[in-house]
Amino acid sequence: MPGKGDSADRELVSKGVLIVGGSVAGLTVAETLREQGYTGAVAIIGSESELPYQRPPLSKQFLSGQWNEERVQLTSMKRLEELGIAFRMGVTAERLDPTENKAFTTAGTFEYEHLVIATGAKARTLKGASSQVQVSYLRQLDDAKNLKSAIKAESQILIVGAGVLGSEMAATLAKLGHRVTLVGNFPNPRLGADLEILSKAAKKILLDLGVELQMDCTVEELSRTPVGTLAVLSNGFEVVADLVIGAVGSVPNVSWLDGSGLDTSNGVLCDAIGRAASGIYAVGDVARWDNGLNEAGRIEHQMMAIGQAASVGTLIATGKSGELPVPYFWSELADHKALILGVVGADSEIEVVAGSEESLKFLAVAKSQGRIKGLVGLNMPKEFRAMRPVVERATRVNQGERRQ
Amino acid sequence: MRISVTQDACVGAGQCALVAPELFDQDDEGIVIALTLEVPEGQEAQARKAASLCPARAIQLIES
Repeated sequence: MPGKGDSADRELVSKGVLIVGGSVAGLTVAETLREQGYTGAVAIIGSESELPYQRPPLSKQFLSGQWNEERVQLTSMKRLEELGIAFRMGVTAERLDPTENKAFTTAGTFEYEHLVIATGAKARTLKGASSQVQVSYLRQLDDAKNLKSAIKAESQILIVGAGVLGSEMAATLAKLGHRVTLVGNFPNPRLGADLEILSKAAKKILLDLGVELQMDCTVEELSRTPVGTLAVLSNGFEVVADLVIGAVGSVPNVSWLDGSGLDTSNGVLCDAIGRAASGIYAVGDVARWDNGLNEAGRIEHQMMAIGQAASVGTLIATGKSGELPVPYFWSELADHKALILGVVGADSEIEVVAGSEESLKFLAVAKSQGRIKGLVGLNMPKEFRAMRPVVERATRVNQGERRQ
Repeated sequence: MRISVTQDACVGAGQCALVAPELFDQDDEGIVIALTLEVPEGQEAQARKAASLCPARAIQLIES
């Protein structure tokens, strides 16, 4: 087994790549390095006691019981060995000294030639929840396992946060027969983008599934009672829940970089191709690429993580970055699948080009000042793909300008 | 090199059909279809790219 408790791969990566973070972004960097012919040492350290696995199915196929643990795995130890990738699980990075090229971890000090930061993000906790009240979160595989075992048959479940994660969990749990109340502090649920056309569709789908929506309000109080957790909402609504789940966004895992000199405000700041400093790169949820795609720069989509990782892996291996990813994500609410590409938001001008909103089957282009900026589809995957290259080209023009 | 796809795992993102349209297509639900079982010579790179970009890892390549 590679790197099992010895110092061999610690010494090896002093002439190679150390990847901190064992999820899809870290794994994809390592795989791309090998694919691009990189022959130096490659080691991944991951804080979880798991091999790399997929996060998106956790709120859907895994939570519903359709997929088991094996099914969400992204790779195997055998495959990693074949590729010459050392993977060390249960190892947490604690500090970085970029002047000495050293990462300090719970398993000792790693020297590196190149460092890739892929430490992801953690769930933001609910404000004001008293310590007596148990709030569950879903971020990692063990969260999902705990959640599954905490849910008893026909429970009353309160989900706080009606973004993509909260909405997906609400749909999954309502379909399983639970009574679900979904609370959001905006008028309609948001499927990862502030788009009215999608939000209205999400609202209809969730209501059809029997989800109780409490929108445009916040949770004022959570307290423990003998029969469950009492939640009082700002609109006066009260519900006693068997289980409370928080889905109010995420916070990048950057505390281990304190004192490193890197800019870590809302993620590790990188240039347009993922470089945070000389020999240091960041990819995935923890990374903030300055590429003009959005103001915040941190785009928490799995396909963005994969795209950034493939690009950085290529950059390290060949000296030239790979094709830069265009924001692209999907969401599933029960049997409905939404696909969103490009740079879209509340100010996008939406034009339905196929299907209709009413039928919950549509394809729409998102424009800004008459120019195509994005594509939004619900339950029309083939039509979506046919339109996709047009939108990608338009987005890349903007990225290309920032690349120099 | 041979292609094996796991349709149950596919999420219909369409990455494969975009980067390797000669090897992969999607059905009406967006689910992956392998257009060939054997990767034609010269298309190995596209096949690898499709497999690595797949968000669901629904494409396996078996090196011969």
